Amino acid sequence: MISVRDIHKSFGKREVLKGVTFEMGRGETVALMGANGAGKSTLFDILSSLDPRFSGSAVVGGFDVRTQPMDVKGAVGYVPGRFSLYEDLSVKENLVFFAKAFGCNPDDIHSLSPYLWKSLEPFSDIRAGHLSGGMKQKLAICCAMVHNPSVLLLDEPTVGVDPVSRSDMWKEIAALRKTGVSVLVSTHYLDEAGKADRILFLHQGVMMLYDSPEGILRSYRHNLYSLPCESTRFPEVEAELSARRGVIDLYLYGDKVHVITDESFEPLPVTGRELTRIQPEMEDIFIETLSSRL
Amino acid sequence: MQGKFYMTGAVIWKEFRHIFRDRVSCLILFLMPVAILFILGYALSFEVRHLNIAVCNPLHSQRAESLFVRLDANNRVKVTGRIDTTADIDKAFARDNNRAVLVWGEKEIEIFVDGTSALLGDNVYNCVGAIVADFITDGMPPSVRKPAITTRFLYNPALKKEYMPIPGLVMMIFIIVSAIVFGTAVNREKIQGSYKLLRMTKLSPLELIAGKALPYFLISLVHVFAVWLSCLWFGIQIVGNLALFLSITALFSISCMSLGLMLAAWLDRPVDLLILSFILIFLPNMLLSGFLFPVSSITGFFGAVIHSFPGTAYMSVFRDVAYKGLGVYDAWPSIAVLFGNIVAGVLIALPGLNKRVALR
Amino acid sequence: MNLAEINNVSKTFPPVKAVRGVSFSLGEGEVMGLLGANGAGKTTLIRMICSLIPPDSGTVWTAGRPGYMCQSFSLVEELSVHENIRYYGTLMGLSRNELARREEEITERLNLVQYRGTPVRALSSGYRQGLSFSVAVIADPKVLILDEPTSGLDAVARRKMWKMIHERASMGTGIIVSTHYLDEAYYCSSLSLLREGQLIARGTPKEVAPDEQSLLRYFR
Repeated sequence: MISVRDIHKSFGKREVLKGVTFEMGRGETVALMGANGAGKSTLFDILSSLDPRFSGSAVVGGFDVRTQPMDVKGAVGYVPGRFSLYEDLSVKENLVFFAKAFGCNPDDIHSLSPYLWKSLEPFSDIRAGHLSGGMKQKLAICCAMVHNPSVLLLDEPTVGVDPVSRSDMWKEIAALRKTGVSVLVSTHYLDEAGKADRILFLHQGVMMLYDSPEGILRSYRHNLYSLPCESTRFPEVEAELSARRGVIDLYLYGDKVHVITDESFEPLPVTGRELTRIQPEMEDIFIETLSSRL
Repeated sequence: MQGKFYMTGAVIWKEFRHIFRDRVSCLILFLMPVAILFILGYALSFEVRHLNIAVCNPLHSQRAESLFVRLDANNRVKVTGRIDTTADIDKAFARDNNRAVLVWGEKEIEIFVDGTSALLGDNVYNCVGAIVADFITDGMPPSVRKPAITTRFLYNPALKKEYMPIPGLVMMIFIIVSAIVFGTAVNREKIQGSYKLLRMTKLSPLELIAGKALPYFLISLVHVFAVWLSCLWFGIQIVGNLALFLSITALFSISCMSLGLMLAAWLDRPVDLLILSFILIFLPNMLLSGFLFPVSSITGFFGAVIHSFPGTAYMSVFRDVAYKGLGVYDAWPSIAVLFGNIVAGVLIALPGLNKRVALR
Repeated sequence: MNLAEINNVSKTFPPVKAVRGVSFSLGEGEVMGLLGANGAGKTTLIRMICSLIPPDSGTVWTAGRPGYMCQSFSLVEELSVHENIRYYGTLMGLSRNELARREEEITERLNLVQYRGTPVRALSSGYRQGLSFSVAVIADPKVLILDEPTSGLDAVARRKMWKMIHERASMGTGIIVSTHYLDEAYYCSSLSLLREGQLIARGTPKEVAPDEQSLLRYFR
């Protein structure tokens, strides 16, 4: 549904996308990972046909974003970053407005995204500005889907949203996937990425990884050890481990310390605590990927 | 799939909701224009109703005294005091907020008028002059030789007669409502994510803006009506064709909107928009259109620039159509300037509306 | 010795009771995580501690003026590194000599010496992060308040931020951090959980919730 080939994009002298290439199939959910400034929103603007000034090619929903922008707009639902609705209009008024602006019948809203609408319906007369962060994002997705698009672009729907609302949001995305909608969703929460079919990792405009979560987990090139450690004792543990042979990097991970090592490392206890060899999680992979660039 | 008109209609409907739900917008759009017209317009003519004058009767003439009594009896004029010699005229102007000094001389009656405010000067001259003229015709026996009346404008001998408060105020209202408030509405939409969502519809930026603009245009029509009412209120006779005058006023409103749109399209920060609207739209139109200073004498390059302002064009239409009663053939240069502003504003705005905007 | 005492504070923005009778104290070198769902009252509580808004009832006491940093890095983008340090230092009432000393210290520690004249917006995000943290603590506040300091950062930058937080705590500063990352709860020495304006849990991370899954229940 999305086919992107070697996209480069600059704002003046600053190059924000440095060669992005990927393919995404029907009904797939792809998580676009990256910190602020990684180029995520720029990529979304290009894919939604709003920004035709780039080099490379992009085909979305079967249409070229540069030559067939009108068809792309019909096939794509786009939820831009931050809150993109009218705070002084009620939930229902927002929906009716966008349905009409997209040339659709407002009465069809309920059937277009029944799962989302179910959770929004009790609030239909409340002003959008009074909704919680999670509900606002649900409403934004609803509004972007009024024309029944086959591709959905979600730019950071979980930013500033608490952990429970975030997991709700991913349940909504999973429900959309069942209806055959392809979803490209950006986030900087790594724990969310594992819920997607594939992960695209963008770092300062460079595509670092594009693979399924399993594939990414298998790509870990070093050994990873873990030992329990309160954050206050980290300097002590760091001092002792840094002196050991085979330690590449170490960092806090919740209530533990994770140690990246090579084969020469001997897992002897540190400050009296046992080291355990563990399987890396998504976050470990990204830290390894980023450290290797340093 | 519904038609474009249906889609644009949704934008119009939404924009009206924004306006009527926001108290400040309502105040600015509806109360402020009325306030400007009536309070300011009234204040400018109010002082004339309470006109203080000083008198001087060096010859101790009885007739002069009866003129003074008649002046004081008029409810618009108050005689605040008298001076002994004409040498004290400056002192008389310095006290009691006196606007004029009347001197009954040997051969003539001299009216000295404070010309610092051209409008007031004119009014004082009309008011005092009329009473004195009346007195000469019916307050004096026919056998007596009639004295001549001479009027001297002090401090501003030329007495600029360009001063027209009502057209100027009308212009001010349209610049605020049509250019600045509309520009702010466009800007607010643009820096929100909602604008990206709107651009995902099949509406072109021009259609989107047309939808946003229509409610403001309709509201400005209400103001056009208010202009007509205020003309009645202040006794300004619309000599020419009323329909023509009101249509040109509406055209002026659209040209202000296109200027506001032009700035809003290219500027992202609301503060920048406000300040630049003030500097690039409000100030030049207010200062250089003949509202505050006479500009018709300026020729050459600067004259051409000044005459390309919609404000200048509107001021001249007001003069030509409302005051002089000229028709559409005589007012065409001004109408052309207004149309030119609309076309130029929209053409400059369009590429800016397609530009990428960093969201808040 | 306590560096901050929050005693039974409440704040209502009618009709919303944003904060209801919250009490806690912050000790020396303590890193207190402030967690809660959106709308639980975190922001209101933080703003009261910074004395940006007065509480309706209850008292807030802090040892001196707290340092504050929010997610959007409060640096002035157009100003250079040098000018930002001068600007914020002067605002905090540092003397000329003190300022010069602090600037030297900060730029050396962050390897920013050669970028002193560079506008902040031209710096990489890593440098900006370090600089904005240093600027927040330029007057050596005894209490430091960080409002979602790691929002929008990548995994490595987040850990760098926490390293700076812990360094600061080891110097005795009491720190209050709000975050939406569950794993970061365990980088704190204590946690305060808010729900609907009330303090529903207070203790060390392990006491409050032995793991991230059980921490989630406080958000429902």
